[in-house]
Parts: sequence; structure tokens; C-alpha cells
Amino acid sequence: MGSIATPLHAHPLEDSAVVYYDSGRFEEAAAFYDRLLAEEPQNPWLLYNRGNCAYKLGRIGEAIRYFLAAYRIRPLNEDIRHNLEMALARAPDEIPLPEPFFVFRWLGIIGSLLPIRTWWILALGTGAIAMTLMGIYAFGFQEVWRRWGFYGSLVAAGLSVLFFLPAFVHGQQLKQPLTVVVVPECEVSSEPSTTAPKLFVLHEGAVAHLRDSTASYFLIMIDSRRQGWVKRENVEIL
Amino acid sequence: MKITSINFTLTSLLFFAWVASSYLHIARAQEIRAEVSRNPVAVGEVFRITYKSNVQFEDFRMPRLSDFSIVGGPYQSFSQTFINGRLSMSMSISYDLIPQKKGKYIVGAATARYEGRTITSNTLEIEVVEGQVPAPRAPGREPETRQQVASDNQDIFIQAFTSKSSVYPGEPFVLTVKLFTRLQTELKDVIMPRLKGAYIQEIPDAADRQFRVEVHNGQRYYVAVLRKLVVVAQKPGTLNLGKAGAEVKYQIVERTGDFWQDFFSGGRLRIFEKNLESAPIIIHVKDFPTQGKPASFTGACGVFEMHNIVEPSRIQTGDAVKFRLRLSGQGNLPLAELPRLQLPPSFEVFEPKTTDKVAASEAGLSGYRETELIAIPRSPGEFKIVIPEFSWFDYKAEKYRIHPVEEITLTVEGAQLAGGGTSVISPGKKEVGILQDDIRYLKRQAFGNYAGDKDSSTPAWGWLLLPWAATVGLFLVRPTVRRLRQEAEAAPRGRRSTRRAMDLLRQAEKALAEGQSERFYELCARAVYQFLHDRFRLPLHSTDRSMIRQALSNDPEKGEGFVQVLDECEAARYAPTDATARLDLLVKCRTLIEHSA
Repeated sequence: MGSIATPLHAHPLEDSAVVYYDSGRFEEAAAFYDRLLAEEPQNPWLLYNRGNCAYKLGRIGEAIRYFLAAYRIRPLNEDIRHNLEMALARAPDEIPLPEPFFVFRWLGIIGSLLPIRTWWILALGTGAIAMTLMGIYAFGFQEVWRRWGFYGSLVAAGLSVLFFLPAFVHGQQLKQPLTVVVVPECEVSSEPSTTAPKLFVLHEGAVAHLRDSTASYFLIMIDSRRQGWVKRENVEIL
Repeated sequence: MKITSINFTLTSLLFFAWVASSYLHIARAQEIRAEVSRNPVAVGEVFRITYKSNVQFEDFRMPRLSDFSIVGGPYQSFSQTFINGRLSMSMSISYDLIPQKKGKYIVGAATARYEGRTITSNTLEIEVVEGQVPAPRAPGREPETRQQVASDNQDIFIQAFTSKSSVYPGEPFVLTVKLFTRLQTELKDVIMPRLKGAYIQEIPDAADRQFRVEVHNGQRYYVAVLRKLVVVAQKPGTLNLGKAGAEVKYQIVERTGDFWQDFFSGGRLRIFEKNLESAPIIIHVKDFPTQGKPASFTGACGVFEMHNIVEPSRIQTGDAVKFRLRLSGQGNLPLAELPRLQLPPSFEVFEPKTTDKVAASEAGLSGYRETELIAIPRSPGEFKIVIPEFSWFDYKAEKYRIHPVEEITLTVEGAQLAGGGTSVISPGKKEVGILQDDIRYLKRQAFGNYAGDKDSSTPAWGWLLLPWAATVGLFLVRPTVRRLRQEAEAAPRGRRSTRRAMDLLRQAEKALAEGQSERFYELCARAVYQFLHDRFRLPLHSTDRSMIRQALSNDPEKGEGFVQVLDECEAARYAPTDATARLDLLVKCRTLIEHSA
């Protein structure tokens, strides 16, 4: 990705989105990208482009929501990281992005290098090989077969675990629900009701973990000290 | 008579006046004068109270000083002088005190005895304030030439010394910051003056934080040199270099007033932490004299020499020639602006490189500043290179010096080179500045160009457990399988075990028909051995008859029959029998095998 290609080979909707974007009509471009995202919701480049539209429209919260979604899928992409940092720099609240423990972070990055399904096939295949070799070890008539079966099964089993772990961690990270504030300012209450005491105020672009939800409220958490209920319409989930 | 009477009266009055004045004089002389070293004083700050008198008193008694701690004294001094037949004496007793709390305090009168009478001192009112007390300005006193600052605290203070009180712009002087103390002191940190408006260079290894004994204003102090710098003022006027400071920790042993406690423990130890600060360091910077100022003067100030070097003076076109202008001596070398050479247009000129080798010392700044310019002539010829006039102010002689215009002849030989005719100054590289930050552009062909997961669903991880579950299952059934296998191996082979033996017997029959008697016996024996091996797992060709009998222990007749057959086969090899016996042996073998299967 990243190369400049003629739009002739792109999807017609994407051609239209690019034309609108280049002419400064970001609202229309965003609408086209939304239609494309409906078909490929996990496509990081579409998320990135949609984030660009939101950024150009001055909707920092929305831009962070899309850039962050793209970043979670492709954490090593320099362009996505740059645009996310740019958007975060414009967010009024000084809230660090939720980052996992470094071991899980690196496992997640490794997991992002291949589609999760590919990792899954690799893990399953090597697991099957390990099982076969273990069978040879268990029931082989000749000693040399049994020996090779034993060591081979160990190697295959190790590979199976190595293929499984990054993919699993990356998958879990993608599933972890986050919220982004998309309104200029919103209050966070101690209970999911309008009469509850207000705990703190968040501004557009603030990112938080989603812990729970009711019909009209989300329970969000920034850290152990700062958590509370916010109205659904004030945040977007990724 | 009247006159005599008046004279007497006057004489009497004069006598009484003299007696009275003498008495008053004595009365004044017998007073004790109480003085304090400074007032007001800060909390925790040491000050001195002194009782002076011009008589030698005794049995001196201090007033009650409950609001102050006595940290030193009594220091007693006595002196007497005899001048022009007149004897005069003075006596003083001093104490060093530290105030405990903020407020105004009255120190009562001290008493002493002189010639059997009690004499008293005046009382003192002392104001104690929080924080630091500004140093009192001595009226009409000019600052000392080389001592800028005198701290108000007599026992621990900082002083900054400058080697000159008045300088020209660019004239280096030495600034020394010293800590003076008479207390047990630990130096924690040094805060330097801001030194704005001046160029500074530290004198290497000049700072010495080891305390050494020095006498200052007649007092012995432990002195540490905190910093020693060479400072160069850059413009005329009053240069305020700010304040030097230090963070120190010192301890004081207080007299508690309890004789026994003071006697045994030497008093009470108190530790203070304080930020000491000198007064602003101010230097008067004179302007350069306007008279005789050359047009080429750019602010170089010092005792200099100028050298211009061209290497080589005769070159080929395309070769590099170096021009070096070196200013050496003492002065503001790092700030001196050396003249720029103007070269003919046929020279390709590179950016000049300036090198400073300047060392700071007690004498100021000395060394040299050199500009090296490299040029490549493209055209042959004889060129006159003009080195412009350079001038500086000699601050020692207080006059301007001029290095006149110099002309150097450079001979360039060889052929004209391409690219000649223009003088190219290669610009120095600059960092690319960022005007404005923005997000990166769109990703083209994004749709369908992603081989990753199309949606957020994750595969069924549980399938990965299948191989592991199968492996575990394998190991669970493994003992059963092995047992079955062993049982199968251990079980008699049945009719199938006779197949190979019967084949061998058919071969033996064929050999019998062909008259090959030796082969016949051999095949018969092999058939028996093969049968026993296949049926009872006995080793092939084993000659151990006991194994055969044991294997057929449940039917000893047959066992014995097999042994007999084998014995006959072996015996017949050495003593062949007739055809009928051979046929009987064959039938016997076949019968035994068939009935034993």
C-alpha cells in the first residue's frame, strides 16, 4: 500500500470518494467511504481514509475513532500512526492511549502481520502434524520411526503454539471495546441517570475502555480512579 | 579687697567646676556601652553583641537572654595605651547569638563592678525578622576595587571577586566566587549568576571546593573557591551579572545555659540549611574611545597579532589553495570577527571554516582564532589577492591597532577549466524547517486491497484443541493397543503357521523323488524347525531339544516325536537310510505338523 495508483482500477465508490476528497468535499467523501466500510469493516486503509475525512472536517473525535481502529489492525503502519498522533494532539484531554503490557503488545503486533485466519490455519496444520507424529511415536513398529515421531511432534507442537499465541492475542485486542468521545464535551456521572452526581468532564477525542452498558448509557473507564457512566450518543465504540 | 574677694569666688567656682567635670568624666568613663553587630537580624542568623568600656571592670553579669541562643563567646579583650603621659584603656566582652523567633526584643542592661561600685550598660532593642535581611549599605562608602560583595553574616557568606572593576567591551576579566565560613559547613549546590550580556569561559581546574584557611578582614576563615570564570562584557554600560549563590548546610553548637550540660556535652548541636547569596555583581563597561577609531574596527579587543598564510603561492588550475587568517594573542578571540577575503570570480570558493583554540586562565583568554578558506582556481594567471585591513583595540595600551591591507600574489598555471568564470559559494547545509504539520494523504485502491480479516469475527480457536485432544486420546489407548499386540504375538499361530512348513515338506518330497537324499533330510529338518518357530515362537534351527519338549509339554508324545524326527534327520546325513525309511520320515513329519497345528 502507499503507492500512487491510478483510480481506474479502484472500486467506483472509492474513485468517487477520492475525487470528492481531492476537491475538498470531505462530507461526500466520508459518505462514500462509509459505504465501502459497510462491505469491508476491518479494512485498515478504508478506516484510515475515513479518519482523514473526519479530520479534515474538524471532527477530531470521529477521526480518532477511525484512526485508532486502523491502528489496532495495523499498528506498524507509519502513516496510520502519524495521523493518529496528529488527531490526538488536537484532542483537548491529556489521556494516554490504552496500551497493553509490552509482552502482549508485541504479541499483538506480530499477530497483526498476518490475517488471523492464516495464523489459525497454520496453528491447526502444525497441530495436526504434531498429532500424527505423536501417533507414530506411540504406535510405531520400528524404533527409528518412534524417535523421529517424538522429536518431530515436539517441534510441530511448538510451532503450533507459536502460531496460535500472537493470533489469539491480536484477536483479543481487536475485540477489546473502546469508546471515543465524539461531542465537544460530555459529562461522566457516577450512575446511569441524569440526576446522578457528575464525576468529571471529557472532551472530544478522549479514549476510554468500555466496561458495561445500559439502554442509554455506557460505563467507561480511563483508569481505576476515573470511571463512570456516559450517554450513548456522546461516544462511539470501536 | 573686693577684687580679691571676687578672685577668690571665681577661683572657688573654677575649682568646683573642675572637680565637677572630673567627676562627670569619671562617671561617663565608668559606663558600659552595649553594641550589636547588626539590627534587624533574621531568625537563625548569627549576630554579635559587644559590651565595651574604658575601664577594667570585673564581675560582669549578662542580662537574661532567653529569646536568644548563645553560640559563641564570651570573647574578652583588654587593651591599654599610654600616649603623651596619658593612660587610656578599653575592655570589651562579646557574645555570638542566634535569635529563635521573630519579634522585637529588649536586651536588658548588663552589670559589672568597678572599684567596689556597680556599673550598668545601656539596653538594646533588637528586631528579629523572617527570611533574609538585606545587607546594610555603608553610607558614602565606595565599592572596593576587587571585591564586589560583602555578606552581612560574619560567620558564613559568599563573595564574588572580579579582577577588574572597569573594563572595555571585549576585555576579559576573571570572576571568582568564594565561600567563606567559620562554621562546620557542607556545600550542597552552587548557583551561578545568570551572566547575561557577557561571554564566559570556565578556567579549567580552578574551582577548588576543598576548604583552605585564609585571613579576610583580619579574621581567619575556611575558604572554598566555588567557580572561577573568564568573563567578557559585550557592550558598554553597567553590566549586572546577577548574584552568585550556594546552598549550604552548617552546624552550630549552642550554649544551653546549663553549666553541666555544656560541660559534658559541649552544648546543643543545631543544623541549619541555607541558601547564601551574594549581592549583584556589577561591572562598569567603558565605551571604546571615539578618537582614532578605524573604519575597519569591528569590536576585537585585546593584545593581538595578525598573520595571513597562503598555501601554496603557485598552483595549477583545479588545485586547491588555502588562505589562512590567524589572529593570536590575548583578548576576546572567540568574539573577534575576522576579515572576509574577496577572491576573483574565476575561483570556486568553499565555505570558510573558523577554528578557535582559546584557553581561559587567570590571565584571561589567550590562543588564536583562525579562518581557513579553500578555493580552486579555474583559470590560469597571476592574481592579486587583497586581504582587507583589520583593526582592534589594545586595552592595555588603550589605543587602536591596525593590521594594514595586505596584498598576496598567487600564480595559477595550467589550462582553463570548464566551469570557470563564476565564483561559487557552496552554502552550508541547513536543517529543513517544517512550516506546518498535517495528516498524511489517502490510501488509494484501499477497497479490496486488504488481504487481512474482512470482519471482526475470529476463527473458532477450539479447533486447535482437536490435535491435542487426539494426541491425548492416542496416549490413552496406547496401553490397550500394546497389550493387545503382545497378546496377539504371544498367542499360537494356528493353521497359518503350518503353511511354510508344508511348503518345505513339498520341496523335500520333490528332492526325494529326484533322489537327493541329503537335501531331503535337510528340508525335512527345516520344515520341523520352521513349524516349531512359527507355531511356538521357538528360535529357528535351535538344537536345544529341551525347548521343544517344554513348548509341547501339554502333549509330550508329539514333543518327543519332533525330537525324534530331528535326530533322525541329523543321523541320516551321516548314515543314509533306504527309500522306504525316507518316505516314512516324510509321512511322520507331515503327520506331526498337521496334528500339532
